[in-house]
Amino acid sequence: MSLRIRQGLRQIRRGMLSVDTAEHRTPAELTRSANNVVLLSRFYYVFLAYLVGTGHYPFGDAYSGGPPTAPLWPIRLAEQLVGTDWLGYEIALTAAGLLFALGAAAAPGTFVLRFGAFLHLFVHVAIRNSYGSINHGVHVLLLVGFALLFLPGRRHRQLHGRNSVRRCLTSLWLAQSVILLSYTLSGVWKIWYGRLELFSSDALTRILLDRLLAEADEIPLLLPFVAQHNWLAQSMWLLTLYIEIFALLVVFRPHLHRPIGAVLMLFHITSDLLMNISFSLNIVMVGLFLLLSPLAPDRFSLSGTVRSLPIVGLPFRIMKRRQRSQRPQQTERVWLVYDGECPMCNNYARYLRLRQSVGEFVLVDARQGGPIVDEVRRLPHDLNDGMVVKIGDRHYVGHEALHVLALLSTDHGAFNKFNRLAFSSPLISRFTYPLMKAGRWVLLKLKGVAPISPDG
Amino acid sequence: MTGTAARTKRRRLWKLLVPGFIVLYIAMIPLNSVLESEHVEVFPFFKWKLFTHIPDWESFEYGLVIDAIDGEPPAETYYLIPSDDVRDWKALRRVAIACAKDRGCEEDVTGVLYPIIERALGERSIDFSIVKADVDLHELQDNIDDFADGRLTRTDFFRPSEVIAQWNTRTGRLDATLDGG
Repeated sequence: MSLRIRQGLRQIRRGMLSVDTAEHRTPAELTRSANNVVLLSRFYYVFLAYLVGTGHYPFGDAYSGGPPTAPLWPIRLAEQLVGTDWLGYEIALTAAGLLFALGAAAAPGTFVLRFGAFLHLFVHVAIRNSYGSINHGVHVLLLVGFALLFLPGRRHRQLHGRNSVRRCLTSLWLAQSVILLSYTLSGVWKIWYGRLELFSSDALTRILLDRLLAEADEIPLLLPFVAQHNWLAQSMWLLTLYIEIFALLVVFRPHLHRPIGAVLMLFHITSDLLMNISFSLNIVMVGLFLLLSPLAPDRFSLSGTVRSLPIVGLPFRIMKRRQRSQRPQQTERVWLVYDGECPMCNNYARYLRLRQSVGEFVLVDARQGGPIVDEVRRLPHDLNDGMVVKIGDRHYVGHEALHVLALLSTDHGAFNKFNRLAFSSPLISRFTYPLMKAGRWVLLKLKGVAPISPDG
Repeated sequence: MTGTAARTKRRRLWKLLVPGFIVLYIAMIPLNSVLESEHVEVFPFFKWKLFTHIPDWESFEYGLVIDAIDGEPPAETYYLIPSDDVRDWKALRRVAIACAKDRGCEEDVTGVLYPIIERALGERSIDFSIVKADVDLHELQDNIDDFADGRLTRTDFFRPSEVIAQWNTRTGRLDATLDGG
């Protein structure tokens, strides 16, 4: 019973979270990804050292500023235990933070250094959000620091050890999850509080104008333009909601890591230009852990990206599944019988590349004859009405042949990419094939070549 | 426990780390009010409740108006808040809501607003009012270019509708709630 439940849960997880667009990874690829995670962690700690070293973390300033409200629990605890004098040792605190961050960058396998860097950041973020100050911009940096605590230690770093790889990837998933969870929560709260008001045609315009009143000292660059164009504001608002709500799903869909990472970075840059809200640290974190994600596919695939999109990608996934089910089984040979005198057909046959798994691809000029041509002639089909593809015992003619070859073709090169994109749809193949046939007829006329004789 | 069993258990724990942390994070949100009385969030489990309020076109804001400095009224309406520091405005909102609801805002006014006023104007006898002002965002939208050029300031869009309370930094509260235009 429990096995059945687990199987059911696994199916739901596969269906809801991940889509069938992810490529399966070999152990060597996983090891490479794990090494890249360690490299990313080094970048993270170098960036942290930069922030500490360039005075982005002034403990004393944060302590003295703002209206007096209660401190957060870590600062209250520190106050009770050791008072607040330690906050005055600015240089010592900076030096300690710098030492830990640089140490962790140099030796990410040493837990003590990573923990020291995290603790320094933890206290700093706590103080930046105490005594009336609010700064949401540093939270993601802190949560990523927490995720990196789970990187393998030095004793785990046996070369290519499975444990080490698992810990690196888990650490990466946790970092990506905490980054993306922040966006999802932000989107869910908007729905929770905004409800139907959220979808009114001027929701963002009103938010922007209200915000403008609060932040009137420096008018954001894009705000006057966007606030006067409701359609633009609303499009941006709906796109933001979509990205935010479904952000967490991106963790499970490697095809989306880079595109959504880029979109989120653009989102922060736009919010800065629209509302003077600079989440610059989020831009760096999204850049490191999503745009440079070690789990993203090596090559960008538009179709894979579109299929991975939540809800929007659903029809494309269904279409892909249908295409897969229609795809002919693997065979030893694929024969293409075409008209060698038609320049268009000739070029098509010459540039077409089929996937390696399909088997041998044999081109046959119908005008040259041969056993395959004779076989085709016995079919109730005139070779002048279209090319023929023979796979195993099956023959595909005209638009069906065009469609089948598109399904079997690679996506290397512009021609094959276009061929796949256009003709893997049976509908497009059916409607465009008569045009191609007419094109062949015109070309043969221009060349002064007679049609293929039915008798050979 | 054998080595293999321990390894299997460890592997399961690692598998649970990410979903476990996400569940813990989400579970902390409703627990905020139970575990923390002075803040809306239990550090470091931030709620990420950002820009959830969609204001109406016709909304209102609170302002702190200086009525007199050492008994001398200013030449024109002088809004000390809203100021350059958005934190002052947030503090004023909190105090104004407490005063408007008659929740006893004396401590907040002396503890929060007095230091802001003294920081800006020094330790003098200052009469000030907490006012509620109507704001029409359409008006702001129509005049956004003038606003961006600095020809209009944000308080030019404030239409005071209610004086919530009046105070003097030396003598304390001057009167009870007044309705006015």
